[in-house]
Amino acid sequence: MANSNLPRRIIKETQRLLSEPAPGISASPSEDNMRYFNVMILGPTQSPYEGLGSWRSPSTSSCGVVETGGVFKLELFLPEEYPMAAPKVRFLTKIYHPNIDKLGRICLDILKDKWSPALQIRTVLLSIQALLSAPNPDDPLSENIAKHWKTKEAEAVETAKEWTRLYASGA
Amino acid sequence: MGLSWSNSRRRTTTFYHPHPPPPPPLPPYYYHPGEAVSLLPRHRIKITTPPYNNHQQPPHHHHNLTLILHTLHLQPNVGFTSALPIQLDPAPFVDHQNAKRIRNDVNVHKDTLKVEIDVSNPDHFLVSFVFDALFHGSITIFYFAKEEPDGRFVPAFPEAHLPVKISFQKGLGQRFCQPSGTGMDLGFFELDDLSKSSPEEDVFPLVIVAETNLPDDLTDEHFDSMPNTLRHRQITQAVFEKKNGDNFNVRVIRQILWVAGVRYELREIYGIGSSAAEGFDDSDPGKECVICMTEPKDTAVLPCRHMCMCSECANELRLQSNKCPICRQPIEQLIGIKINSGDQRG
Amino acid sequence: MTLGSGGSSVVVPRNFRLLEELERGEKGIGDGTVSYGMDDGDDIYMRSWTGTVIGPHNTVHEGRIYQLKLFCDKDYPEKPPSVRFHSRINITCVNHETGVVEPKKFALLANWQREYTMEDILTQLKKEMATPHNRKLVQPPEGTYF
Repeated sequence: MANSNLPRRIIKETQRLLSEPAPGISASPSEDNMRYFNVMILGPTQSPYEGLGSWRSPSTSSCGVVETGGVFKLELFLPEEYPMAAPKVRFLTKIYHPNIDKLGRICLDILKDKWSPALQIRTVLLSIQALLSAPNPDDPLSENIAKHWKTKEAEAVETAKEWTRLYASGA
Repeated sequence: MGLSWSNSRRRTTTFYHPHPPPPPPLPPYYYHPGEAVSLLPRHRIKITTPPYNNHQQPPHHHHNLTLILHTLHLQPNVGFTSALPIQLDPAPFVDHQNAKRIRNDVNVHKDTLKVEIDVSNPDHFLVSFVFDALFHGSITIFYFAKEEPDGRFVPAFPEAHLPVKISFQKGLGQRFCQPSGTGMDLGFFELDDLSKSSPEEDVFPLVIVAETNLPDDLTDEHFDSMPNTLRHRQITQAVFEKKNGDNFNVRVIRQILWVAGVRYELREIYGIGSSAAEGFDDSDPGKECVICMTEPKDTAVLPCRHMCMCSECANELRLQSNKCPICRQPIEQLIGIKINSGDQRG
Repeated sequence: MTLGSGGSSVVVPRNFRLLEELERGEKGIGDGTVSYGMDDGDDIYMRSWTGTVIGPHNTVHEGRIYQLKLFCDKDYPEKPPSVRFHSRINITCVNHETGVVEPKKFALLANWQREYTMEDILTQLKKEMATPHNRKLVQPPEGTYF
């Protein structure tokens, strides 16, 4: 019943997401609710949410990659009004970010007043991934984190990295 | 009537705006038909993957948003283009209307316009382009010409050059090459002047006037199909851009069409080139309505001129946010644009 | 339309449904005689909630403030939350020992539908306090808890 009358657009978006996933992003619908997606976003490189750390051995010059985290789980739901209304998205993985609150809710204008029906699941997730690369403490959702970011950015970035290691290990 | 057009991929549609045209607003964001849209998220993140090329002019080659197409459809005497009805103040309650088609008897393909050095006459440049003409006529090339209110062009520096006028025969997809020896020494002008347009003074460094002859000159079967005694005139206004070495690129700033004594400014519709012109394939993301992703797009939004929706979704959006999905400008009017050939006569 | 029902074929998943309820609770409901909020702002699964009901007029409950605990498990809203009074109260649908609202005696829980919300539960409990068989029952002292 949950999947009857699924609009063709949603079917198409889903097919395209599965067949041509965006780099560092996966999204797959739940079996029992095709409007409800399990999402994984890899933290962007050179952000505190980066997933992989690389190392180089000075003696042997060998290189390697260490899994240190950086896999963020999210959930996404397409409300009945979609695409006239934005998808609902939130982080399930804890993350230290000035525009994401404790419940994983995301402060991003395209999810609110700047939504456009020309945007899609893919673009929304790319925008969220981009938000990880560009935290904006001037428009915060988490006041404390934003304050931390503005007063002691290096320290805040360290905390974000620490949280990534602790919570976003992908395990 | 079996005239086929070998270069049918060029077939496009033009959208005319009645005079006087509003200043063309650069759409703040561009829509790339193949991928998502580059709308800026709240935090001004610039997504840097190629399709998200914010704040830039669309590249000037064929496959982009600003597909303007021109002109003539396959049947030789059906050169229709989409245009707004001639109506300066749209009736307040009419917010969805179909574009009026204007027969366009002569059309210069603006993306083919070039200047090249005349090999037998160095320092002089010759103009070339591809054009379609349903009737015999002529091409006139002006440098630094001013548009008069009646649509005539007057050289701003008559002492430096006089316009060159060359006749042509009717034909589709023909190549115009300015004869050797009639070229212009662009070195005569300052580079700054060559690359500058002055739309407010209606002076452009390069002006190509393509016009059909009066029907009196016609001797063939098309006579009946052209009851209007006024000739068609299409004007292409362009600037020069210095390329490597001594060469120049030509960049078309605008095109104007005079039909039956009315001046239309050609305005590009963004996204029209990837629409259903060549038949709709459900699996092609560029042709489908961005909202339902199912129906072919056939409706453009004014004033921003983005064409990205089917009429049903466009009307629905009118009742919702009423903002263009591509640039979020408020929608003032919807224009239905059918590009399929064959039914334009109505 | 009931909050979260979203029409016939669209099913709002648990977490987004609870986020809707959270936002609605934060905005404040109606005349303020019923309210609720989340207990643990760090619990991304939003399981524990505290509800408040102000006793209705012209009953023994008038002016009393009742606190309740609601627990939304994984299967919410397919299944109702468990509901327990924290403040002591004497009404027929509440277990006298534990404060638990007994589904068998409270139709809204017994005949639960996924469109129902915590607000509906609290509002219905308030009405329950005003039914003829509950409005005049002797109550435990104010400020005592189960």
